[in-house]
Amino acid sequence: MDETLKWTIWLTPLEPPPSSSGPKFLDIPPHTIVRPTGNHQTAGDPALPWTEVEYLSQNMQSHIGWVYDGYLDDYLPNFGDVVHVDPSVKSGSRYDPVQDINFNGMTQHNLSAGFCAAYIGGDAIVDFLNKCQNNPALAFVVKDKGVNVQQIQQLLNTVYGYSPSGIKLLTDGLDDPIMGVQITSGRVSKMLQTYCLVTLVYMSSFGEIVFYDPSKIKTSEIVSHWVVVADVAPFGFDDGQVTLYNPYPNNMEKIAFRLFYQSLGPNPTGLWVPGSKKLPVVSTS
Amino acid sequence: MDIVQKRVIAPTGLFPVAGARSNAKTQLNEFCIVTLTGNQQPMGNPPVPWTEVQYTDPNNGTPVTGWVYDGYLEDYPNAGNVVPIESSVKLSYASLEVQDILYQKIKQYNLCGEFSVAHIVGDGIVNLLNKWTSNAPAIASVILAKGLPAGPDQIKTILTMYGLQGPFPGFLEGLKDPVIGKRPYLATPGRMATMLQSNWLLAGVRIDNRTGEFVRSGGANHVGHWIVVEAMTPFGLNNGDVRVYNPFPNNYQTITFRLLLESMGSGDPTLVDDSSGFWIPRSSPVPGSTTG
Repeated sequence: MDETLKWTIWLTPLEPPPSSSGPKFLDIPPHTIVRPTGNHQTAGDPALPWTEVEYLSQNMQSHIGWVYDGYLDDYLPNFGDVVHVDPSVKSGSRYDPVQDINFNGMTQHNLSAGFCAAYIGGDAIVDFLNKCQNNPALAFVVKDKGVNVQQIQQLLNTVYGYSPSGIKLLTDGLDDPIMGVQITSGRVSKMLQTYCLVTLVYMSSFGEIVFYDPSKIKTSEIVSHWVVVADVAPFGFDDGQVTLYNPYPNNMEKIAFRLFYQSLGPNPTGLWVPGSKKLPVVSTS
Repeated sequence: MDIVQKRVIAPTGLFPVAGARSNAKTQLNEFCIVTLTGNQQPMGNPPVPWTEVQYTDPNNGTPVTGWVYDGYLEDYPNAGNVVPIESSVKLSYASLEVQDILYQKIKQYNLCGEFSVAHIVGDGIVNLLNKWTSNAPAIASVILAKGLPAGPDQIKTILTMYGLQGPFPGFLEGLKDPVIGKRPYLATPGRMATMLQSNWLLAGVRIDNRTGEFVRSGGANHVGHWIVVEAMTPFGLNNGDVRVYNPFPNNYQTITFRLLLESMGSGDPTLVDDSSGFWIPRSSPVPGSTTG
C-alpha cells in the first residue's frame, strides 16, 4: 500500500533497525522528501515509533534505513490533474513536478508556459503540445527552454485564435488615466471579472511561490515560472486571497495577495487574456 | 442607508469641489479610511468619477467632507465584529484598528490580549473588561487606567477567571518531543495542526501598527500583538494555511504558516521560543478531530 510521503524536519539520522545495534548509516539533510517502505517498529521504554524509509541522495543513490518518527512530517504536495496529463508521458517519480513530463524524446523541465496556455485553452497537455509541434513557429515550446511574454502571446494567438488586440500587457490593464499603473488587490480583482492573468512569478525548487529575492536568483534557489491567476478576493489593507493555477503541481492553489504581488519582482510581466476563469459561485438556496 | 467605508490607496488631497487640483481641505494618505456620503460626479474630458467622502483625523476628532478622484478609493472588506463590541464604546470615526475602543472614558489602544481571550471564551469585550476589573482590580486597573498592553501573566488571570485552568504550556513546551526535546524546528505545520485540535494558541506576533498586517521585523511601525491561532492545514513542504483571529480588525484571517512563524520569530522562524505564545486547552476538541 502506498504511504504518504514524508519530509525530514531537521538533520535526521538514518539508522539500522531500532531492534538491532550498529552505527547510523548517514544523516538525511533537513527538508528532504523520503518514501516510507511500509515497515514500522516500536522501540525503547516507553515504546516510541520508528519508520523505515527510502532516501535518494543527490547522486540519486537509494539508501534504505530507519528513522525515529519524531523527525518526520507528512508531505502533502497538492499534486493535481487540472490540465490532463496522459499517464504515458508522466514522470516516473511520485514527487517530481507534475509539469515535468516526457515529451519529444526528453524530460521537459520548462513547460510552465505550455501548461498555462493549455489551461486557458482547456486542452490536455499532450493535445496542446501536438498542436504546437505541427507548427514550426511554435516548436520552441518543447525545446526545454524558458518562454518569454511574446512567445506565450504567440501560443495563445496561434493555437487558440485570440486576437492580438484583445490581449493586454499586465501593466497596461492596470493603468489609471490619472494615477498610472496601480497593482492593488481591488483593481486586479476587477480585471479578473472579464480576463484571466497569465504572469511570471518567482518559485522555489519545491514549486512554492516565493518573495522576489535577487540574492536567491543568483544561486538559482528561486526561478521564474508562469502561472494563471483566476481570482482575487480582496481583504484588509491591500491584501486578499489569490486563486491561481500553478503548473508545477498542476493544480489550483490559494496564496496571499501580498505574496503574489511581491513574487512578481521589480518588473511585473504578464498578459490579460479575455475570458474570466473565476469559479462560479455555488448557490445553496 | 448602509454606511460605506473605503480605504485610500495613495496620498491625495481632499478637495472642496470635484475635479479640483488645489486648495485641498486636508491631505489623505494610504492609511486613511473614509466614509462615502453617497455623492459622485464625473469630471474632466474624458470624464472620470469623483466621490464625496468624509474623513475624521483621529488626532483631533474633527470630520472633514470633500471630494477625491475615485481611483484613489478601494473597498475595505476587513473590519469585523467577531468579538461583540457595544456601540457605546466604539470610536466615533472609521478606523482600521477595530480593537481601539473607549472604556471607562479612556481610549484603549492595546486591548489585543483582552480581545483574544474574549474570542476564546465567547464573551463581549465590555463584559470581559467589567468582570476582570471586579475580579482582579489591582491588575486590571493598572493595565486599563494606563492603556498598557497585557502580558502573558495578566492574560492568564483572565483565562483563570473564566474557569480555564493552567498550566498553559509555552509555545515550544507544547510541541516538545520525548526524544528530540524542545527545539524550534519542532514547530512544523503537522505538529501544530495536531496541537490545535485540542488547544488554542495565543501567539505573540509582529504587525504594522498602521494596518494590522503581519510583518516580519525591522520597521519603525512594527509592534508586538496577540492573536489566536485556531486551525492549521498543512500543505507542501513545511508550509500550510493558518486560520487566525486577529483583534486588530476584530476578524478572522487566513495566512501562510511561514508568515506566521516569521512574524512570531521577529523575522526568523528559528528564533521562536516559549515566550512566542502559549497553549490554552479547549474545553472540547475540534469537531471531527481524532484524539486517540
